Amino acid sequence: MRRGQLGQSFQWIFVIVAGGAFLVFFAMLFRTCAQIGDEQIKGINIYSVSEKLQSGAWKGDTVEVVTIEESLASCPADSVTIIGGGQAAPMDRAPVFIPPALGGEMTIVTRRAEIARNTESPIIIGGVVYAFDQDTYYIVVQDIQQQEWRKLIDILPDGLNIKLISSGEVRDIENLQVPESAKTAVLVSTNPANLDLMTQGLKLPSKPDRYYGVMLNFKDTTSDGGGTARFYVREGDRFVPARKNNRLNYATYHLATGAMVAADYDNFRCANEAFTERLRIITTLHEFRARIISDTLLEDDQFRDPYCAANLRIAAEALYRMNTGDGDEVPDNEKYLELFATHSGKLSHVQRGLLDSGCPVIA
Amino acid sequence: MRKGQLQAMEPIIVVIMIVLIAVVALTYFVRLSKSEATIMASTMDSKDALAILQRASTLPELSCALSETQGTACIDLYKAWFMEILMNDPTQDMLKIRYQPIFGNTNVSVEIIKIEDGSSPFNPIQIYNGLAPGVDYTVTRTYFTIHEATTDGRAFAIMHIARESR
Repeated sequence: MRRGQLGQSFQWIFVIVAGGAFLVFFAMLFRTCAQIGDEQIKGINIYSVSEKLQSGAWKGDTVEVVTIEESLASCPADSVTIIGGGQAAPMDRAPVFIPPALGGEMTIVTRRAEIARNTESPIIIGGVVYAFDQDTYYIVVQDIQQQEWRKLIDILPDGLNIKLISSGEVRDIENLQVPESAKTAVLVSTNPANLDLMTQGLKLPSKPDRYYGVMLNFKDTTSDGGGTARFYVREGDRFVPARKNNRLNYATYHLATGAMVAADYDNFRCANEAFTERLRIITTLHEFRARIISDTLLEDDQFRDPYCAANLRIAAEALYRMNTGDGDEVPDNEKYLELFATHSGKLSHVQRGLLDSGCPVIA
Repeated sequence: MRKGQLQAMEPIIVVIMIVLIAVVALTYFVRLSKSEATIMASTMDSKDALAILQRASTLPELSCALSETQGTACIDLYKAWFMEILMNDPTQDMLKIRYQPIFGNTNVSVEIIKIEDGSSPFNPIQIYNGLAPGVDYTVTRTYFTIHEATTDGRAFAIMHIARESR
């Protein structure tokens, strides 16, 4: 081989080596880009608050711990919206315990919301989202709602400040001190006498302006009854009934096993509205469905079943009165919730009858 | 061409060859990457479709009654019809916004299919229309059970999810 030929061969070897190097370089470059893309997609799925709420909110007994920055919580016209990972999730699956100040770490717990939960065939209307704030001190008196609270608290993770006390222990409430570290205190009871004892006796932290108190009183927990709630705020060294601009509204007890609590009235109002609007859609849909099935069972010879048709008609009428304010005028949200409480007992009764008779059910 | 001239052009030829190899490699990896992206997008669409079906079948607005199919994706026929009516009601324009976090920017429709001959007894029921008009879209399909309460009938159904092409 001549010298020139040898030189040319080396050049070609150089070309092949350089080409190979380019090939490896580009291969690595593209792989790296693809991996970064994967991680970004994964990141959105894992850390998006809305994704968590959407995936679990309508299921029962899911527990999620989410960090919600205060700046990311907003309250547009008709819903509380939590924005995370570029997505927005309306918290319209309430009633919720909205922590008095949105922000920091919250534990989201979902439960099924049912009408007449004490029956064997409850009507599931959706999910309840409870959001527990780690800086809030909850004192729950286990009286009439004992079973439900116990079930809820059993699935909560450790680290939340929830103190369960018996009715008897309310008398010794003076021995119970809300921790200095707590930003707020939420007190829950179903007994008016307990409320009085607690408002008078509970020791509050030394910085009164940092705290406020909430007490709930569901006066009637039977399937047919309504519910009431009282809202107290801290004034000086006492709890006093809240003024209108920060009063507590509520979702009735059997409508869902919770209530909405918010220090900020706007936060409460928009959550309440969002929930009620959603509920209206559901009950309107149930009315439509019950009416269609009832008509078919009455008029279609092939599927004639007067008993099922009559009971579904009763359900449709009850739902109609609920949705339309007894036919007078479309009720506002507060009136609608009252009507819901009034008619849900009958709906529950009809639902049970339909199920036992093998008829199509309301929901 | 003389031998001297050829030798003088050797470095240029080398550079050209290197560039050619680089271009070929680049083309190859771009195609490979596109192919992987397409597969990935297809997988993601399928997963998204399943997620939408899961959400839809657990929404009280669409889910089957308690006594019906449990533990499987089941949608109530009458509820689906009512959702279509609501979504097409011009006075209910807020509904699209309300359900956007659940369905995303998609058009979701359900279609009953007769197993015997593959025909559909009804037109597809559009339960959500959140896709901007006029955009190019791709459709992903997923399967579920639809329940008709009057006859207690269950049917095989397809959920069509149209989303903007990636």
